[in-house]
Amino acid sequence: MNRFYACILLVLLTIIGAGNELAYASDHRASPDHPFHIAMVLWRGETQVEEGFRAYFASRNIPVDIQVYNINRDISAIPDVIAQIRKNPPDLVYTWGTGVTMAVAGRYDAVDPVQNITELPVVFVMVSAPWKTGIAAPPGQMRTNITGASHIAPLAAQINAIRAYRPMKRLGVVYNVQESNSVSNIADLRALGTEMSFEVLAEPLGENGTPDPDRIAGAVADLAKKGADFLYIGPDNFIGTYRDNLTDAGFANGLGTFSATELEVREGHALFGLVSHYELVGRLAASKAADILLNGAKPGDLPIETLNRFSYLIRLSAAKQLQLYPPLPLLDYAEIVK
Amino acid sequence: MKNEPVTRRSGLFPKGTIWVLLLVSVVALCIALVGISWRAADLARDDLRSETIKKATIEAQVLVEKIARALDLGIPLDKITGFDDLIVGMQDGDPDLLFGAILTSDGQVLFSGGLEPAAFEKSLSLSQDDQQKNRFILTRLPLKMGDGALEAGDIRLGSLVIGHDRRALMRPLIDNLFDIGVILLIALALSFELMLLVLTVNVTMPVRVASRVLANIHARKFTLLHGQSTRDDIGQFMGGINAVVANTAQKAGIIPQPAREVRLVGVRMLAFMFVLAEELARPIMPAYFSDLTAHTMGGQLGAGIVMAVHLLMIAIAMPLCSLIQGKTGPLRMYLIGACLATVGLFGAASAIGFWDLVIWRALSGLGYATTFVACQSYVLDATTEKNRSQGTAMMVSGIMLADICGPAIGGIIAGYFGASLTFFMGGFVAVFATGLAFFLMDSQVGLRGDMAPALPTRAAFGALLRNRRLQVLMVFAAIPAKLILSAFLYYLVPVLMLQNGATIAEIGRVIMLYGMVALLSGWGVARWTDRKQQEMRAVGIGGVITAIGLVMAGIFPAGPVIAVAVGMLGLSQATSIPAQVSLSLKLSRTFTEKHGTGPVLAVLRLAERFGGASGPLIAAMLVHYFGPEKAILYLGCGAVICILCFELFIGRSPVDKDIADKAGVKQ
Repeated sequence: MNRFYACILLVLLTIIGAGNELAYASDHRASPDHPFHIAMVLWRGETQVEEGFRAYFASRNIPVDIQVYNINRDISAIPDVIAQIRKNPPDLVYTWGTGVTMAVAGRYDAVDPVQNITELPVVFVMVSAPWKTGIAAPPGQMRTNITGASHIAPLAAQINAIRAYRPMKRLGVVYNVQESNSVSNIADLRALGTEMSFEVLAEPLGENGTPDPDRIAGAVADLAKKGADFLYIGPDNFIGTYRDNLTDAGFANGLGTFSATELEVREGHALFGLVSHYELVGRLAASKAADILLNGAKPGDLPIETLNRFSYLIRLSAAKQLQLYPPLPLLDYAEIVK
Repeated sequence: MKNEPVTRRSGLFPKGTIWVLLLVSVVALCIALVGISWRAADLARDDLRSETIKKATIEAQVLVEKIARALDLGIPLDKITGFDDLIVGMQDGDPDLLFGAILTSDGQVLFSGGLEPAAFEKSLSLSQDDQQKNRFILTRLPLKMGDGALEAGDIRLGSLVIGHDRRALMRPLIDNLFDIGVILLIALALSFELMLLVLTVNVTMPVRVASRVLANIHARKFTLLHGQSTRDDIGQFMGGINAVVANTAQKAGIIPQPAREVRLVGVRMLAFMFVLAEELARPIMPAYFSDLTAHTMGGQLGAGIVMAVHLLMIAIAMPLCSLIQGKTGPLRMYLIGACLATVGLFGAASAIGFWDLVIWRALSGLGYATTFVACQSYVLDATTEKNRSQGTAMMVSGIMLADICGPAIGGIIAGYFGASLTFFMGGFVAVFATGLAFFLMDSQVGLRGDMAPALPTRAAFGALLRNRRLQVLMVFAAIPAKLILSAFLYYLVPVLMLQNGATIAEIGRVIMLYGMVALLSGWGVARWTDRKQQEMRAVGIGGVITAIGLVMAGIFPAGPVIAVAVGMLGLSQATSIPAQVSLSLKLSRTFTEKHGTGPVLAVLRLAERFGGASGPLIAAMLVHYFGPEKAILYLGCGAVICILCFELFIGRSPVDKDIADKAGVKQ
């Protein structure tokens, strides 16, 4: 008899458990009338990354309502944005770039619950060095509300890509000292230079506050005098914004520009680059957002990743201008931007 | 009965006129074979030439398309770069491709790769009739886009020329010749083994025992009967003698005992079999293991770990087996070992990843260790100190023969049928060895049961380990010898040769040199060591030879130098390994008298096998950080240091004043 009651109890418990699961799942299900709300905080308007992000949800018929907050390169606008987000809390916050993400989510070891968002899941994109900048917690520690997709190829692969074009012993970099990701990238490049036998010639801008774009041309001329073989554009929002100043100065001094990000080649005049396709970065971030929204995954449990395949882009117009044409083996796999 | 003097025959030639017939038939056969081979080579060359031209045409087409694409993109002809890199890239897939060049319509070289233009320009102007003398097989393709020639500015492109090495036509034939040579050599070696076994068991041993029985009769003792039964004339004759001895002994009230000799030669065949089973896959191990472990551990390191686990298992199992050898007996131990090796080899053949591969290789290692100790204990129990080095050398010769045959046959099998089947073949050999052991091992040898010497106390064992000379022998000779063997021969040679573009069969041939040199030199060196009682000197000489070979190969890592270094390693191991066994027993004489040879050998084996186990790991790490060439050089430097230390610490003191043995006596 006892065994009979035990069976009944087991069945009841199973039904209750299943009911809870169903209830949890329904909590995470959206409909066209009740889409998931996403707050998108952008540095300079929508890019192909956001196109990829949206396309991912559209292709899977996942209804989302995206509220865009474009700070238009003004990082001081972030507190207002956070205040607006808190007035009408979304299901997830999307951030673009290191500066925006740092301002929205803070460093892992210096989070201020008043100034930073800690109560909502945050998915970032276009953060080149999440661990170096402290956006991601170091191994062994966890940051529960943050995950994201990075977009930069490993530095050694970037250097090999430059050397596949022409021999390189001196790499010229103009960078903004105010951007932590840019500073950490320079440090990494210098360390790699010892290992891979090249010298980093760096020209810092913005030592006394906001960097002056008019100084870019002079810095490039100095790099040319010092014998730089190529100019390098890394993850640097300032240089990204004034990329044409840099590449034009490169043309004037006979220097080609390598870029670690796509837009500088595709929409700018950088000679070549080893890059992640922005749309694919957006899709990778969207897959993580979907996991959080649909399956209730904790952001801290989702790995911060980069794509494992990169594209080699060559801008032919820049090559013509510099009379620095790609070698034949590169034509096998490089994407030529005309 | 008149005793006719036996005429002693000298030389290799038979007496009488038969040698004339032999000579004529050999000459006729050679002329016929040379003629047929010449014609066959000619026909093969024609076929290979057309194949080479087909391949060259495809390569040339690829190059033309790339040039056309560059021009299509608007890259000026004089600004095209990287043509030489394209040729270098193609050479990776086609080592016979020597150069490629783009010519203008008037025959000027515009771009070239592979060779400097000066090296091939004259060949381009040779007439069709002179092409046979040309060192290049030339393939030309006109540079055209649709119907029109490619033009760039005022330069009109003419053609693209590709040059292949004419010697490549003979390469497959030479490879086949090597394969045939290897198979012939192995067939001769196997025939020799079988002949030796049959003659020793059926003729030498019965005659030797008959000699002892007849000498016993001559001394009027009648205490021995011929116990080495054969069914041939010797057996029948000695059967009659046995009846007479038994009859006479009965009258004298004596009970004669059967005299027989242990079939020591059988162990040579068994040692050959179990090593052959393992060695078949030797040339493919690093590459096969790298492929299987690539997803889990990352190629080189994964292969190093799998090989290290195998050798570590041998290191752990050998001393344990040495300790229990007296109770199980060599036959039973051999059978267990061969079964384990069989399972391990079949498992490795069908492995799917890192973890199961580790398990299968560990089982193989366990089987290898068990069979090795079984053979070794069989030899040690059937020999005395006077002929122990020769007995050990007999077993080592069997091992060396397998070292010769295994990689060479394995290389050919792997080349034709793949890596898995090579491991399967090893498994089948192990199965065969299991059956053969019943016939070739005397089941009574080595079964001491309660007669086995008592296990040494912890204090006695401690005293043995405190034996300074034994420590020097282990640290600077035994461990480095096996470390270098496994690191260099089993890991670095295949990795370096594969990197240099060698085929598996070629790697097998080079590894085979190790066993061949060791076999040819082993017996002579062992006799010299026994006669002169110069084990210490032999160990030192072995170390010096190893060090010279490795340093040489590290500085000049070309194929022939690697082959010479492998041969020198074979010579050094044949010189050093049997001498190390004898020397270790000699250095611990008092200990072995009291506790038997097992513990000493266990300690020695443990030390040298740990050396062997660490070899692939050290090699993998050296390759990871410095590349295979530097890895060999650094290994050579290590060998130099070890042999200097060995000579410095052990070479200057007389062997008889053994402090540790005195410590052993006190226990």
